Amino acid sequence: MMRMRDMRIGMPGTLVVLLGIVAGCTTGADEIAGAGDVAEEGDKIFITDRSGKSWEVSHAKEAYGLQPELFQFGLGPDAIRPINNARFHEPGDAGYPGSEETFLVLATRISDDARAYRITTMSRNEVANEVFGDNHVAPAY
Amino acid sequence: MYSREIDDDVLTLASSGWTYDFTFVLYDNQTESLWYHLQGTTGLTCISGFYQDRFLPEFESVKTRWSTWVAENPDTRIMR
Repeated sequence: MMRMRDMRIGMPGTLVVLLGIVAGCTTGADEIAGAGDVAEEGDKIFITDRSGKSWEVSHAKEAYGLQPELFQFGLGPDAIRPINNARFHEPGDAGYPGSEETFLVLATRISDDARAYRITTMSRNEVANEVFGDNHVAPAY
Repeated sequence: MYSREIDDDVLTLASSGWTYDFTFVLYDNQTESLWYHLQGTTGLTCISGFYQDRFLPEFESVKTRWSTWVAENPDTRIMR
């Protein structure tokens, strides 16, 4: 099986979704992907998103070299809802896709449980909170 | 496809609404720690918050065509 090592693979499509969300509430192109407000309080660094929520990123900078001003979009934690109660089509179900269909999926087999997630859906929701047997897993795209 | 288990806890992951270097930054609902797929790694690293410097390993997965996947995995369930 091929291995998808990096969810960066999916970012271009997902960024289109993000741009669509932001474009609905702003008019300036430069503003669409802009950084949040960066503030320093003592030795702590905070970035503030569009919802007004502040996130401390001091450690991200100190330990991993991530620059606060390069965090982008800042839509707020409620802008993109994760999938928390996924429902599935089983083989043989009326809605089960034909084996000739060629849409893209993110697929895996864990604990002998094979599941697939349409890329179009994952691009909208970004992450799902799932359970495979005894494993709690987050498909992300 | 990442584990969301750490110590004896199960995290609920979601988008923080931020991206960095064209990659989403996730957060967990339990502690609001930020999780990021650092370049050159194979899982999520906590870059800020309660779990900082901790790691959520990656499960093997593939981005492919449905027809390709289901030919080899006919027992697959697909999310509606």
